[in-house]
Amino acid sequence: MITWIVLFVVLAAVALAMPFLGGRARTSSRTGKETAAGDQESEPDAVSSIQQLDLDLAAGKLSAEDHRGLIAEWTERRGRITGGGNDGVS
Amino acid sequence: MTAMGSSALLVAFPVAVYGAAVSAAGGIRKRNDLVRSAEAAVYVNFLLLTAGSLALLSAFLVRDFSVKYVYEYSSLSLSTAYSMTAFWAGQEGSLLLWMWLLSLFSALTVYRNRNRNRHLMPWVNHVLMVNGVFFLVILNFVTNPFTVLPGPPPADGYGLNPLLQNPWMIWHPPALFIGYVGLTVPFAFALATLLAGGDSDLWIRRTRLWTVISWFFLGVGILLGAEWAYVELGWGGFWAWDPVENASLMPWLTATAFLHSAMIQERRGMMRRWNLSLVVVTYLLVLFGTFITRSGIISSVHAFGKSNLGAFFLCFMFVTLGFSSTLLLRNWNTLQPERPLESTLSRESGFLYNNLVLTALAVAVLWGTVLPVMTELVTGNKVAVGRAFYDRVSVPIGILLLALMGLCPLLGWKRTSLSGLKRNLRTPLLAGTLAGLFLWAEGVRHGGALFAMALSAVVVTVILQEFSRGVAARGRAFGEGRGISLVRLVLTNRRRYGGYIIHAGIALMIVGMSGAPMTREVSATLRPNDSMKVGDFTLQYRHLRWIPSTDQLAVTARLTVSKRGRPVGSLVPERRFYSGREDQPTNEVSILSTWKEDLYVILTGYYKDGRASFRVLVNPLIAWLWAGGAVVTSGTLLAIWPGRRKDRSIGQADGGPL
Repeated sequence: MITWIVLFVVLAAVALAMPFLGGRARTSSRTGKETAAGDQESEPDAVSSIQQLDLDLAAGKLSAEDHRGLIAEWTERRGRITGGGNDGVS
Repeated sequence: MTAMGSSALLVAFPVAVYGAAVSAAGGIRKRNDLVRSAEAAVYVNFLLLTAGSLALLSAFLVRDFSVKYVYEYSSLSLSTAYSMTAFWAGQEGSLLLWMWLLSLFSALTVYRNRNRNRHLMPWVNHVLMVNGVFFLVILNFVTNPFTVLPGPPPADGYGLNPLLQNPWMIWHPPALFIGYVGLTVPFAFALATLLAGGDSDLWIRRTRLWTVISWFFLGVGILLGAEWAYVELGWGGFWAWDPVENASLMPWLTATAFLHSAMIQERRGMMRRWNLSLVVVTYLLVLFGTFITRSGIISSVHAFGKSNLGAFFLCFMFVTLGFSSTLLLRNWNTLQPERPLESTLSRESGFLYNNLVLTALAVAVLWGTVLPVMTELVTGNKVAVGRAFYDRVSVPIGILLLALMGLCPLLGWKRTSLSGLKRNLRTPLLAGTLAGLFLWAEGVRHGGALFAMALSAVVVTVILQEFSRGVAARGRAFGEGRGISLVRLVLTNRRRYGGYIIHAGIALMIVGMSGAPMTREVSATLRPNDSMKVGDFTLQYRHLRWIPSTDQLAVTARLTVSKRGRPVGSLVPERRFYSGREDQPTNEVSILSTWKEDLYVILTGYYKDGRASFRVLVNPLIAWLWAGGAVVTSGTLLAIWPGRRKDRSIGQADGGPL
């Protein structure tokens, strides 16, 4: 058992020490924004939700005014979430 | 191998402590090297836990009875498949499975977010690792799966509880655990958002997939448990409002509410406080369910035996509650909604009502579940509520929920005109009325069941109408044929139409549940060739057989069945006596299933002179419950199936209406 513990401890210590061997970097203090690249996966969702507004308008669930307002609002929300520069860890 | 497993668990503990501490330090000091080192700890822990789990699995496969846990849950006569599933049959192994899943999900979370959400990841990692520390304390110092028995190893094990030797039991616990553990990830993102300042809606997007998958597995686990109870426990039903069943239902209900309210936050920046609270409550209910199952404070056929784990889970639950509440209150003002509710008749308000109803049901179930403990604490006498209480509460709430399922797809965002809603409801209401009349003509006289089934027809018609309108709109816009139009409509909006299919599946399941009050039951003791009648069925008892095998003796009774004079098949209910567990015979019920009803036969007794006693039930519409589960599964798969990144929109090209 001691052999296994020593083996695991050594392997774990090497793995945990690896990030320190590459030097230091600082993260930004920004919160609440995300990189455009990081948010790309939600693009189809955003597209399909705007498409759905069209269907809702056609089905009489939305007025033309609300339809326009919601498209503007969602486009703005998407831009706000996907924009905002780099939060990144260098 | 046992030494390897035990060592891996032991080393995983300080690694988790290191990971939790260093990720928090990295988050506070904004040091990337610390954050990355903590993430390495997540990967290391996953490898260590995998080594530990493989060691225990190997001990089961080689029948290493020197390990106490293997001795208690396995035997030489147990098949290889059940020897593997015995891994999670008891307290220690199931906790190891839990911890392994947590390490796997933590590693996946870190990997998927290696280049994004970097401001959240130190805190996400911290929360996941603190959870890991808790489970590793339990596994290493309270209930270790690698404890070795003193003295020479026994020649054979005690064996697996016969009730657990059922195919449904192979998948039921892992499915539930995937659901429970998966909900840790949205919880970690929610707390991370609060720790990072709370002003982001990003966590909702990032955890959607985790939440849907966890919700799905939790639901599948519940359904598989119901199927197991139906075919194995032999009492004739699938849901008994048992405390442990309730414990799995409560987080499913709140997770369902969250899946809906998350859309409001994602689309309109509302319900931020509610969503964070709901995710915290869901995770607390997961811990509460684990506490109920593992503390032994409430007796249940599903629970593990009495143990000292209850106090640990209770403490962890209170610490989690205190920490989460403090964070929520600290960020309360930054969690303002972007806009108020604009109308009481809108999709937002519909989802809000849905959330209130689901939460009310969860609270009612929680009340019924904890009442025995509360009354014992206060008065010294245990007062428990039975099926009547749950039926009285859950049936009206369930009907309200079903009505909302029918109404919500017809509501538009922001506000909906009453005249438009009436117009859109006309066809579904007509379909519901016709369904009700048809069922009445078929002899359904139970008011509640009739109403629930008619309402289910309304829900399904609303959904069909939504598909039909979408197809027609695409057809007009692109001149596509109906088939192509349907496929493209669904593929370009998997999330919405997957959700509709899930709703249709739930409506079918409610049809299945609605049959319960119309169950007919007859018990009789018959001589060979005697007959009994239940509803339209006539059962003729033929003979008894004693069938021995290597690990069990099965007593079987053969009955031939006819319906209105026409032969429809034969049934062979059994009682099984497993070697070493002869005092715990199990019922193997025999079921003749059709879309209309299940003929369900239990062999309750037998005599030397060849007589046999039977309990026979005719359970209407049960098959709809399982079929509804399959529909929910297909809808979920559609909703979570990864889409192409460059899907085109029919509305995107010109931004205008169809």
